[in-house]
Amino acid sequence: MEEAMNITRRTVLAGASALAAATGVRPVWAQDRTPFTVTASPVMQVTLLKRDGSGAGYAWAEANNREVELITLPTVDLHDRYFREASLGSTSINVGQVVNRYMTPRTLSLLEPLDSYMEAQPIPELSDVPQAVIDAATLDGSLRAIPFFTVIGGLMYNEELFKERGVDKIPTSIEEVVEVAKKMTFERADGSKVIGLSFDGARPTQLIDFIRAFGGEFVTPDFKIHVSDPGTVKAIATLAELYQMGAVPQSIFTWNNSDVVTLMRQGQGAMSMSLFQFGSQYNAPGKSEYAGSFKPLAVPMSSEVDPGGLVAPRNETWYLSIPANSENKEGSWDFIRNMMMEENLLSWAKVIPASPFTSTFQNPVYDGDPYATEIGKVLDSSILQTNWDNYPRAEDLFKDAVQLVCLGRAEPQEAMDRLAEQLVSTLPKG
Amino acid sequence: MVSHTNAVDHAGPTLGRQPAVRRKRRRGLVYPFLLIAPAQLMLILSIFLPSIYVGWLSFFESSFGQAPVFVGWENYIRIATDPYFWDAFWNTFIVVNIIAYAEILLGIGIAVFLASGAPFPRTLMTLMLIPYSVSEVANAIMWKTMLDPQNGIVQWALRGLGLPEIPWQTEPLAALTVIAFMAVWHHLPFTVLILYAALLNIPKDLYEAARLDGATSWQLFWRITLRLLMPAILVAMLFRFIFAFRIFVEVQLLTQGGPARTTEVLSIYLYNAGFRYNEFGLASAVAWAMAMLGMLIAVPYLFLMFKRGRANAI
Repeated sequence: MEEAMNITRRTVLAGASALAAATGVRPVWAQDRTPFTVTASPVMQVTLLKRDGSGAGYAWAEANNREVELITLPTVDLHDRYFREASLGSTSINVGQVVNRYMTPRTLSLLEPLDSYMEAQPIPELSDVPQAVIDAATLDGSLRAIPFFTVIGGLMYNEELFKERGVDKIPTSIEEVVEVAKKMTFERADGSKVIGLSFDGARPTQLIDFIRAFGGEFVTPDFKIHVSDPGTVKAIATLAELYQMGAVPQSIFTWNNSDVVTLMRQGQGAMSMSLFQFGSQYNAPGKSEYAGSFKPLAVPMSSEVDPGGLVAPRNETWYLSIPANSENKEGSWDFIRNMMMEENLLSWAKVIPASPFTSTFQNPVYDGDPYATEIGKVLDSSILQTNWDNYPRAEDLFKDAVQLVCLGRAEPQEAMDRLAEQLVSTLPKG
Repeated sequence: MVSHTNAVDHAGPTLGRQPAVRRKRRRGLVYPFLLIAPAQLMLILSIFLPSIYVGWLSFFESSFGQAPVFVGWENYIRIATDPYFWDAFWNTFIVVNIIAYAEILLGIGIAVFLASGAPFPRTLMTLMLIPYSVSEVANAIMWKTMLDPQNGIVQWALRGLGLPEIPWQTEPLAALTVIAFMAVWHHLPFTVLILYAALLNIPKDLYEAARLDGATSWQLFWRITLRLLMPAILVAMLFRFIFAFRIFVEVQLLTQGGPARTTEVLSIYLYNAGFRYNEFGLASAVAWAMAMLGMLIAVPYLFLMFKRGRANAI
């Protein structure tokens, strides 16, 4: 017994060798499948490469004897990682997901031109995508990425809270939205508070629908600055009024979307101006106290600017791209092309109405879906953000100016005039 | 007949013996260097070489999709003439000083309390260490949640007591104070450990002798405890100054440098330059500027430590 318990160097070496041999065997089997690396945001895990191992992406990998390695990161880190890899001599990343607001001339130059692939193996459905979405992914006349996921800005409101406060008329102008936001800011007898209107942060990309509702704009595709236009100034002044009376969360400038989702799910937010596709998060059964109560509404225009009209909302599109320094680009193109097939798009678009193709929203699968109905109304008119290399700086300057106005430390017109001067130095030269 | 070799080995100091002694001494030094070489190699590869690269990059304009372009001192001139950089520096200076001095004062108090016969010292020490076991991110999110103006328990308690809420989201001074508080809460155990260990090493007979001479409690503390604790205090302050100078997580997660960049610190300025604006050359210049400014703050304490060390040696 003692001899059996006696661990010698010989037994340790023998055990370690056996363990190494055992672990060495499996990699031999796994090497039959070639790795296929995809960098993507978590949205990929509910669309093409689902967490449970299903999804069109995994089906393609199975059919092509590839082993998908999915690298999922938050948006900022994702793009930082992707572009750093794409800047190297070569990369193991096969397909990278990119959102339009990171697509500047500098970053587009890191992506493989897709024209020759489109000629050899076209994606016919691309003709159904708004031209602006294609243009955003084009550099020097060459397409660099394929749109696969589009989210549209809109308003979402809690029907139950509206009933609680006796709001029975859905707003038909931005002025009515503002009045409802004021009315829906209240404190219950038990001390719980409700806030009328929330956004996910105070960046132009998040506020642009509110600004456009007043006839304002930030920077147009011809790089004209519109921040000191009357419509923009009025929008910022109105936002400041809402902020100072508590109808907008006081810490809104540090918020991201997850904070808004939490607020809405807990029934502490009556309306949010966000992306329609987040409605599914607000209505998530088991997670939201008001599941099923959130309804969508295309943002209405000001009655003084366009009575009865709807805002041309922001369009945030995610694209699939191939790094220019990637290996086996043909395989990457085959993956992308497969993901764009109608049956694959519909496999997840039923759950999240985020297809970039206008015709998808006429599909019977969306019959009776209020979100798809509202998106269908404004998808064609939706506007992608104007992008340039120094856009993040411009965004931060805008955020600072809006904060100063909301905190009462600057007058709206004065702050926007100063912002217009500051933005000039951030624009592309020439 | 004694061989020449034997004469070299066994005779008194001669010309022939010294090279052999030196060779033996050199052989004796090689082995220790070989032993520390892996650690030194790791330091060179992970700290020294990247620092050199960052210094080189600071003289270039560099971003994604473009080859670095030499711009000389332009990046340094840009940050030196940027008022936001100096605002960030002063915010950092204020926060660092609040953190360092608050931690030293509290650390001394807690260490003296623990060393002077507090009940259940081990339990108290364990409780005291708990904040240090929490990650910086968890710490920041926890305090941000508790200070949330809508639902935060701290704000709710202040309202219940009829006190004004903490306006950290709108007032820069309140925000910087909250940031400093969060950092002190998190890192205080580190300072306490350094000071407590030093306290335990103060000979007890000094206190006995002083009491016999009629010293009061205050005199015992001021003339014995504090004086003998000074080297540890200097070490603790040096550590805290250097670590606090890099403060990032608390600011990024609480205010992101806002509102309107009024709570921006140097690390946030650096982060924005490198990861938001993708200006790698500028970010490199900021990194080196931070290192130099941090050294400037640490130099007085280094000087005091060196002076004290020399005085003790004499």
